[in-house]
Amino acid sequence: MSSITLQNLSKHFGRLRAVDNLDLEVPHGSFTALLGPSGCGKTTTMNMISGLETPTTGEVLFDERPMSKVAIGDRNVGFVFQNYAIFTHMSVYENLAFGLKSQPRRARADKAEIDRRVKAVAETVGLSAALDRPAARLSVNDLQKVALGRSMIMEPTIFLLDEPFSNLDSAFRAYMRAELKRIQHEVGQTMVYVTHDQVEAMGMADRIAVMDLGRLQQYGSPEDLYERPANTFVARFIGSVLNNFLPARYADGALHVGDGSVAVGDRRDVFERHDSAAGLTATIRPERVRVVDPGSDEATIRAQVTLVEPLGPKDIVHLEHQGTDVRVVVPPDRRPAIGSALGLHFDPAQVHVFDDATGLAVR
Amino acid sequence: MARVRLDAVSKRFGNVTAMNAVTLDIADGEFFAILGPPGAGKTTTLRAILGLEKPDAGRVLLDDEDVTELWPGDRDIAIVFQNLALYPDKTVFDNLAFPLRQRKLPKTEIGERVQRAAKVLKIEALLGRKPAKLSGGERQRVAIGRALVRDPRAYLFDEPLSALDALLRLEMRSELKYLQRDLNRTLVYVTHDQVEAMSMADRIAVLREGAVQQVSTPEDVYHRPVNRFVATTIGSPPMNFLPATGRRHNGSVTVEHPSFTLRVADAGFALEDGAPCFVGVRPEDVHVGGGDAAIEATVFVTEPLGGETVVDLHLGDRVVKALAPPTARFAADEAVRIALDPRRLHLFDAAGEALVSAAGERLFELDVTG
Repeated sequence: MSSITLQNLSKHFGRLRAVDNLDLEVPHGSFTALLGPSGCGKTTTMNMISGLETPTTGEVLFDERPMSKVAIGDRNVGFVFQNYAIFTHMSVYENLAFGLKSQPRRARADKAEIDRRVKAVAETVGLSAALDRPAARLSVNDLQKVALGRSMIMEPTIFLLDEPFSNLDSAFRAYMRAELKRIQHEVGQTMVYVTHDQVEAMGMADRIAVMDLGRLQQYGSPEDLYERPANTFVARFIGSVLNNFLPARYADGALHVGDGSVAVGDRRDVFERHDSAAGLTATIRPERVRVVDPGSDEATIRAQVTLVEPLGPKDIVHLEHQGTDVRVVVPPDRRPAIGSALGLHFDPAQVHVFDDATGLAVR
Repeated sequence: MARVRLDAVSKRFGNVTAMNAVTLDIADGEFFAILGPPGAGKTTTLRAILGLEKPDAGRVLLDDEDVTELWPGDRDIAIVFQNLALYPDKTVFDNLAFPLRQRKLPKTEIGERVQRAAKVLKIEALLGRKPAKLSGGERQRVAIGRALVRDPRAYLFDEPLSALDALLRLEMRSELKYLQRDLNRTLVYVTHDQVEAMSMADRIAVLREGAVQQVSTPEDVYHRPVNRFVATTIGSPPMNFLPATGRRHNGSVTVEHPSFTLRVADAGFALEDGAPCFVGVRPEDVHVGGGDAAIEATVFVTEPLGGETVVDLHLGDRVVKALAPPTARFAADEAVRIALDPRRLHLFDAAGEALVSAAGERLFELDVTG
């Protein structure tokens, strides 16, 4: 187990700043996700942690010890990649034992010890019944378990996983998400998990570093990112249903959103102090908008239904308000008719406000 | 305008059966999704409609005309491919105009059609640009525009969103649905993504290994899947399956699971006494805690997704996924009680075929064991 510290870490490829001045503290024993769209710098960051890439500037530290002079092989880092490299002519047992058997003779565990560790790891990843099976005959899903087990058996101090589930079908991904989270919980190893899939990051990680264009956007718990996004990028990127973005302005002690207004309560001082010459944008999650009678006093705004997307357990209802597409999540048994008018209630506590000039949350 | 029909179409490539007697009847003006995992035969089906694959057996019909022997160019169907094939050295205008110039339409008509398509797709301001200067979403709109200008009898879309990043996919989903509604044309949409199929289509055909499993509305495939394959393909997280045993005495049927027994009212299906079967329950129909919860389970992990929390539970030796409100907090290994909504349960036989789905009806009475 190790903590990881990234200090002013940058990696430039010519004029491209793949990673730009990144500071990050990964506590030991934590499950941390590096999350962002393709090209955000997450894989480059991981490659600098492992030693595959040398930072242009800045430092990677394990347990406060600088790694710049430490070679990849001596960092005691375990990898699991998207494209698992499994020896298909070997059995599952031989694949798992391979790393231990290929160590230098003086450092090598004896046969009984190797056997004990292979069986323990097989138990953890759920391959006990498949140990004698040739790897060539495994399903894609089981191959990924072998890749995970082969890395685990070396007992690395840090575990790095780069989109390990992206080849798996969605049902098995949902299953592996829970499995991996439980494995990490049990072995207590520091895990850094790279993904572009916010569901994976939210579901598994204790802490998530959201990156875009080489820069850290926000670092926090899944709840932090969802409930308190630091900027409009995070507000848009996190969540399975596209967030609502509405033009807003602050005047006379109230926040005006569309043609309605939202009480600002104790946030009044924040808005009074804030210079919002560039304008404001308010967000409220589609699953947090409450549908009310359009004639009701509770309606913050009124809008017309334009489209319904049925998802099974819930519907996403699209509405039009002053030229803006507003989305609301409703149960399927309360699906409104296209063209009908609905009242939408915005709970002030669920409304987040961002400065249009900086994209940053006003708080 | 066209009704598109496949009548028992089969197609083999060597030893692989890509289409096995596929029969589909797609109504004029319908948004129709073909859903399945890679290798299910989706793209071959699309190519057979388009005329790029000649069926080994069966017929392809447009309205009442048999077009099985017709060349693709004579079928008047437009396709949007997964990989956006735009001409990089041509402007957006010229990319859109290209299929029309090939057909030697008058210049003024080409101009009008391009402008009309650009307006529908909101790319009027981009007409002078080259593809390299466009974002992924804009390029996708241009690719769709190339199909649009032709004003064909039907549109075929082959995974048009799969090359886009997640956010853009979410945005384009509703845009495509608006677009199809405005065009009011038959649109056949191939995808492996059940959310796309559910959210956009009027009806969905679920394919597996070249064979049609079910064709129905999103509501129907969700609430009345015909087999475990469809039940697993539709919905996320996927449906839970609990192994159980059928019991039959004096004409009444019960289903026994170590934790509960289901009494089945009016069983109109065959389930032998002692036959193994599966109780299917979707994560949102597993309720953790609360007044009715009486089945003992242990928390494995929780996955906070923001809008909701997935709670993975051990029920016996199985992991069962439940959905809970985002405020729910459970510790690993915590002992909890759960309830299964009997009005939402499904029953499958040992082979995975659906015996019955409650789909909101009071078909099952659930008694907790012990």
